[in-house]
Amino acid sequence: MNLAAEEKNDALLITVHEPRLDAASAIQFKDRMRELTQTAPDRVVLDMSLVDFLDSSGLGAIVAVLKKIKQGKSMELAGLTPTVQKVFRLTRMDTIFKIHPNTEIAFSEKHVL
Amino acid sequence: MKRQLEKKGRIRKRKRRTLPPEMQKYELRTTFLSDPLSVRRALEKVLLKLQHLKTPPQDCGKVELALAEVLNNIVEHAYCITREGKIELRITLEKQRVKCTVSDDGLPLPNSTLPSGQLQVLSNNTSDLPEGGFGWFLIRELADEIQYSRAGSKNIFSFHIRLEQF
Repeated sequence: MNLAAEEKNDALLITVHEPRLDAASAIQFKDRMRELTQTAPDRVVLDMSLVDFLDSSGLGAIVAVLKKIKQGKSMELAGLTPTVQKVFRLTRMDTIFKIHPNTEIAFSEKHVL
Repeated sequence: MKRQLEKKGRIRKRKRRTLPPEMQKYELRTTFLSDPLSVRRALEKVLLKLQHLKTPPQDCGKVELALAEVLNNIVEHAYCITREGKIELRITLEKQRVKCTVSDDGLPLPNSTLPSGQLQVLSNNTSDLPEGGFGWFLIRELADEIQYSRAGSKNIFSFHIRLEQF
């Protein structure tokens, strides 16, 4: 599971360097995200622009990470590709997560934590 | 006489199972083991086939997602993750839809009926959000004419996925 983390503007930007978040990778994703977000700043932005495919296992893993992130912290998503976006829209999970078109926009807006 | 009958049987079998040669390029058949990595590889094969036949990307995504959910359910429930078994997949690209047939030798669906696939109401409270149970909802959203039957020890699922960008 290739995830790259960098601190940016008081937030943690995590880029998913995997083409698929599916049943074969959901557990590794959850474990790695847990490690990376343990000491993270209050705001976490997950860049999904390299993920072409997400199934319900991958979606479940992202929800699980959101639930694990401690209270008062936020996890936002950026750069959803069309199929990934479709999964979020159909399951209405797009109403739960703050979703940015890309990371530039995610970091150019003013954020109130 | 016996040999003749056998021969006849073979011919009949072949006739029933094979598309005419000019149609074969629109079909993909693959058999693989019921584990998540094999499912991933099978989906990649399907995707290559659809791309090769110039299926628009969004339609490819739709087929891949619906199939992924059906196949994941087989790995997880019919074979209960730990039981090793085979999954057979056949897809046929038609003019405006993809026909899919999936069979396995795992456990039957409870009560032999397809799950209703209701979308769970999402709670405002983050800790109550569901982490699963989206599979059948997605299948029902993406696929049409979903059918399930049990033939001996086999589960057979068939469904169509309408292509939108044709």
